[in-house]
Amino acid sequence: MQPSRISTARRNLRIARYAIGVTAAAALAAFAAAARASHPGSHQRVRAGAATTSSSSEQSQSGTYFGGDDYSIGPSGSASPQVQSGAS
Amino acid sequence: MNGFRSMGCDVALPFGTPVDDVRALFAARDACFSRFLPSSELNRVNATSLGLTLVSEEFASMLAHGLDAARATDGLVTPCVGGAILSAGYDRDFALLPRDVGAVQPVAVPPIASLSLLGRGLLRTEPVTLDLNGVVKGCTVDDALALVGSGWVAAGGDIAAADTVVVGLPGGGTVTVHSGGLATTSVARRRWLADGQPQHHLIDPRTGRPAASPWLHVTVAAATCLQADVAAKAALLLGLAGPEWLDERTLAGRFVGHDGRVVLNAAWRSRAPLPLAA
Repeated sequence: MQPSRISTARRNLRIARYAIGVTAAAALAAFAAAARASHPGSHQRVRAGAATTSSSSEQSQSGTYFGGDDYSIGPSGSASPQVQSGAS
Repeated sequence: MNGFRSMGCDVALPFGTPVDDVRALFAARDACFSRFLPSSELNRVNATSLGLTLVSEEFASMLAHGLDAARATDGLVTPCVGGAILSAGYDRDFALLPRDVGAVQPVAVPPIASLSLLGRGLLRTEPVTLDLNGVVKGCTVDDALALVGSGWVAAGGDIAAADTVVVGLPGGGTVTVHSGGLATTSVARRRWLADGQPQHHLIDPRTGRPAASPWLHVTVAAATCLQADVAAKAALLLGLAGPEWLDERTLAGRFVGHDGRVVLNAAWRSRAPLPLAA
């Protein structure tokens, strides 16, 4: 017995919906995977006013994110402060 | 000292430093990332909390800083706290907050894994309200110093220095910063009540509530103001483990307890020891 045109159309519609769903899910998964794999900070420089800022996902792990001891502080004796930290 | 007001705090530079470009930088960042300007890009992005959103390059870059900070602090300093800070009642400019905002209901802070960023594409796989306050000010101070090229820049007392500056510290005392960044996180300011319960702006993402910490102020020195600010927030959230956490990263930390007691971690003591009592 030949399937009716209506049942054929329904079957085609089910197939089309399934294909659309699979394609959308794959696209979303691919986007998410690509986004995690290629964080933009490591290769993106952005103008903001006249200044630039950059970020590096390669440095985002705690051990390398913080720049070690690349800073210098020392005692100030009785010198008067020029600026107050923690003011706001 | 030159100065102006932006991002809800005083911005200061040494005498003679051209200030117009720095003022424009702060204004641009505030216009983009303010929680309280309806026209800010942050609020436009937060208008939809789920799915794929195209953001500006500047927004993507700052969000990348936020994600870096979150990874470096095991999620303690995260851009995903926007919903929690709103739920705590901090939903308008602090000057406009009533003394008591009434009953509040804490909400869970989503993990950073719910955010993906690819170029200018932001994908949120669960509802996330962003708040980039954890990185915007520190990053802007660093960028301002790069803009002026020398001297120092301070915003609300968070400092980036290329030349020597003497800095007053919470609870008294001073430290000299020769180079790098210095930032203080404090829960002594911007406090309000929710149904009689004290609240403040520093959310602990593990609870979704304002942090309960033995520290009132934490000051950290690091290579940049952004790193110092992120580390200070994390150290305050970590409570008694904060000093050691900073030492493991060779960051100098100064902690002031609620009783006024000052604790210096080993890295701070080795660089800026307290003067001997007379």
